[in-house]
Amino acid sequence: MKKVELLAPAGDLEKLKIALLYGADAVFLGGRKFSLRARASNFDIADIKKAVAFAHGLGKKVYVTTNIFPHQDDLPGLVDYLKTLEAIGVDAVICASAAVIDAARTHTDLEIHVSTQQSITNSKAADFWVKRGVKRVVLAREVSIGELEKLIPKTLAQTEVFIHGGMCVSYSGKCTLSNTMTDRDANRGGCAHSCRWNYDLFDGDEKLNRDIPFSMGSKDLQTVRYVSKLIDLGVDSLKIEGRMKSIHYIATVVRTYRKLIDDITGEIDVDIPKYLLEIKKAENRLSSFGFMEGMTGIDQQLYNLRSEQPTQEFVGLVHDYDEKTKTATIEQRNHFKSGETLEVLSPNFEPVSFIATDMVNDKGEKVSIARHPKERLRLHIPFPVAKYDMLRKVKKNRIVSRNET
Amino acid sequence: MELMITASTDTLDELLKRDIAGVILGLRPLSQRMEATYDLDAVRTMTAKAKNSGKKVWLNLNVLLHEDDLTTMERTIETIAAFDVDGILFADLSIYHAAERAGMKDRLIYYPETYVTCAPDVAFWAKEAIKTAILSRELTLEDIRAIGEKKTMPISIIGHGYLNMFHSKRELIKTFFDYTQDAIDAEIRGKSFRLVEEIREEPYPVYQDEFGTHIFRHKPLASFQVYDTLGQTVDYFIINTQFYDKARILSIVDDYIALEAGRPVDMKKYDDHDDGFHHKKTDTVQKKGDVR
Repeated sequence: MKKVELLAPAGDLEKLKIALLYGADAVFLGGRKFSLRARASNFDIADIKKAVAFAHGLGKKVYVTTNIFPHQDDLPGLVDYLKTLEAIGVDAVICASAAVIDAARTHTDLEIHVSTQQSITNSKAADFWVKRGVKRVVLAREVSIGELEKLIPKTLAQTEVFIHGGMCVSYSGKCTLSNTMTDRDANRGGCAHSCRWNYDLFDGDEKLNRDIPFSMGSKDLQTVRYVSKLIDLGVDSLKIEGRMKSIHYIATVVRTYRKLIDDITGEIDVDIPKYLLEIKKAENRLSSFGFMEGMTGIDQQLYNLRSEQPTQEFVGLVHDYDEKTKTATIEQRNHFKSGETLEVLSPNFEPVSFIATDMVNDKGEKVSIARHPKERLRLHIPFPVAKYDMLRKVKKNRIVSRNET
Repeated sequence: MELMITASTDTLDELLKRDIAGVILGLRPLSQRMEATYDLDAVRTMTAKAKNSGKKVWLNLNVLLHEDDLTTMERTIETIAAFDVDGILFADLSIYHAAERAGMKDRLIYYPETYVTCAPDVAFWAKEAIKTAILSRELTLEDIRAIGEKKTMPISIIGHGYLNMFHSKRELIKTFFDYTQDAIDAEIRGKSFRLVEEIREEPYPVYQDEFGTHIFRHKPLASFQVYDTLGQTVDYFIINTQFYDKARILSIVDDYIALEAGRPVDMKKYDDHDDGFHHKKTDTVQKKGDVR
């Protein structure tokens, strides 16, 4: 069975480390220039250098998005930026614009991936870019499993397919709702997500939506049930979206797909309900399977609600563990109490529960309630944990005791 | 600038009598967001008629193609090769491949709507030896000028008409009514509705067809005020006639012809239009004071 890459988003260095430690084979990040996430980027050149060193130290890869459609006055510095990325050792750039692809091809030996912003939906379009020096194509989210089955054997391109995260409801790269409605350029990183707003629909003067607003927002993509088929079809890279998501989201989603892929490729019986349950712990938006089965319907749309619900279950990030005293040092991320049942999420073992006890703050004072964000605390954990393990609250029906794992 | 006008059987004869460079025709099932589309036989007939009148003919093949669509598209391109068309608008790169194989690469006109945003994009397509590229619809006059000054092949713009601002493959209108279970009298497919955002009084034309859901800017673009400036760098000026009736189409075309001939245009007729992005520079961050 061909090895498939699990590709995860990295919004900053911490998220990058989490993604790689929890099982991603590669990460993609946006720098402060030429990226659709440039305005929210935490990666200057020095950080990208650190990111590459960390990833390469683990034998993993870093791809940098240079995926805007630049206007003329965005161009200065493009070639120097690409050359710098090459010198740093990034493994590929993800480009949308012909101008950027051409600059990367002409001035560097960087591996080039074509972004989903190009909305490539067939093998001939993919091969157009391969013949012009591109190695991989990130296919449009509108391509179904049935279409992939026909497309993949016919293309010369490596194929990358989105398996999880937010979705443009428009063909990507083709939308200027935001440009028109807010003067913010969606194709240069200014998307205002106007497609998720509420509208009224009229036929002449008659308002057609009666009880709820007309809305176009899409549920997030979630493809746990489809990963096995995607691997069978020979997809080269499975991509998780979400550079703006929390470290808990990244850890949970990456870890779940990592284990799922390993089960599938190791030909172990796959317990799909277990993976569905696990991935739900990270979700803060409703999800569905997008275009995997073909044309979307009601189940892929969000109506009458904004589904974002901040996840409160992630309560702490492990910084250190003293095996002698069985004491972990953690950074608080959400409210929890002494005596509450918590669960450790780790890249190294299945989630294990314990009771939070013996909580002490940096001053050595006993703490019964962890209520201060980012506060460093020490607490008793009866089994070894490691840096970047996470603590989260669990509902009683989800508890897995140490003996069961 | 050469004036190219999208045409239908309704307007073709009248347009051919006018001092325009040519017409743009829609071909089923490879054209979308057109005033009208026709089968191959009708397009062959319309093409011959236009050529006999000494006009150019472009075909607008601007659909996005999925794997199952390729065979039909390739056969269609082979058939078109026998037509005497001067240009083929395309968005999907599979059409480039088919046209190249049919020996028509030099007639290709790249029309991805949002992808040609700077001079190196034009240079890229110049190296591919195609006929022209249509610049992105959200560029300012200054952007267009800057590209034009560095151009290495002819450039084109959509200079007049309703600009599409959103295309989803999803059947968003049908799906919404499936959800609400409201029976509506109107036939959904192909019918134009209006969409109004909750804090904006701007009705956006929207419709759903076999290609998905399309939303347009609330006011059509008019370029009379900047026509001379555009003429300094732009080679082809396209008038998109979608959503206009015949009388209005001919009136608009006559006004651009008048302008080209140095005669004045009554701008009051265009109060229901705006100047699109000509003077509207977009940003990437939210401006202070914006509600959203």
